[in-house]
Amino acid sequence: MLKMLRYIFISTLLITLLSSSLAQEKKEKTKIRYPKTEGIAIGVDFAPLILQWIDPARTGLNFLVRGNINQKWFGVGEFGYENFNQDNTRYHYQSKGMGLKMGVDYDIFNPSEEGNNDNIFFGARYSFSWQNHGSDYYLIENGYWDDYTGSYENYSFNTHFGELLFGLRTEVFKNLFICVTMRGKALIYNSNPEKLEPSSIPGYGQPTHFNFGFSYSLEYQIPYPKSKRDKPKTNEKLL
Amino acid sequence: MKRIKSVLLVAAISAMFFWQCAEDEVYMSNQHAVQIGIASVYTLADSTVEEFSAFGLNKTDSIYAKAKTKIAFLPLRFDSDTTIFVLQTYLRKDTMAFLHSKEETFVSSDDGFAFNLKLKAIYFTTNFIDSVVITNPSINYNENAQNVKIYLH
Repeated sequence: MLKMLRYIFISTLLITLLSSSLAQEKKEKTKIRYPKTEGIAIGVDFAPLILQWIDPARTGLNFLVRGNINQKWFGVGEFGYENFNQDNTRYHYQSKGMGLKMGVDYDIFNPSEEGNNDNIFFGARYSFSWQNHGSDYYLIENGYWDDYTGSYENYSFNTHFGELLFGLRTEVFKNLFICVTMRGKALIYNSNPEKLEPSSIPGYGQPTHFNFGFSYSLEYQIPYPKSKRDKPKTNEKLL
Repeated sequence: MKRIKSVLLVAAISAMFFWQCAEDEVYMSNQHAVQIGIASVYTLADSTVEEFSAFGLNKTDSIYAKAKTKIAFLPLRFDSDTTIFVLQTYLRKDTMAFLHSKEETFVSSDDGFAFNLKLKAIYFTTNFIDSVVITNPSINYNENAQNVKIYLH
């Protein structure tokens, strides 16, 4: 039920944002459009820190590099690490891992004012994560006969997954951007050979077939050297 | 631009809300016990047994003590493939031996592991028990199903 509500909420949010931005585009079709500053951005994603605040068992940090391919398309690389340590009376679990994501973003936002470098974009990622995990103690309670205790020695495995995302990126100071993305994720392959399941896959989260996530990053953009295409153009030429 | 900033804030708050509402699986009791239904051999219908006691062989604490019940849950051992119980109603006693196997299964990151058990055979004496039928040999975590039917004289 909760998962369905999440789908509905996210779908409604996306549709509302998309339709309003498209409606605005339609109205302003004849206006002059100003090109955005192109460049390479490096950033830090603070989502792992927010998650750590909610769930102290996990620690991690993500970094990203974003570069303009042209006015509409960005190439994006993300990498980070995540450690997970959980101890309760029945189950101890420890994991260390890192992840790498590569993909593109497509900007649908056409600014109608000079110097507006904001972006509304859709994107896709192919992601790979590696992790080493184990359980030094687990307890299966019986309630009448003797309980059972066991352990799993640490071992490594990797996971491949894909992401589709919707993002908003705004320039808060010159060349400094805040970017939020909401992501739908799908597990493609997991090489875990044992019954011990990861509590969290770096960059993916809980090991379900589908998952949701978000990022909240601060990016600094280093502009490309200025070229002729930085001059204002009509919308028709840009499209 | 202002609109994008507002939406950024709403999106961030929404994402955090979704994360906090993640569902946790609930650990259930009686997950490693044989569920036994009690019936009369004369009517073949479910019946209630009175003054019913059950305890494990060589155990001092009982699972049931002079109880009135239609269903009994008898937990199986993890350290052996045979679990023996002494059952009693009034002054009549019987012994039941369950032969079983176990397989470890991962439950959740909160609860860790559990066992799925499988009944292979049951041996019993016949002072007040007439016959025993294994109706479902699988005792799986998170499933509520009757495994054995005991027909009493």
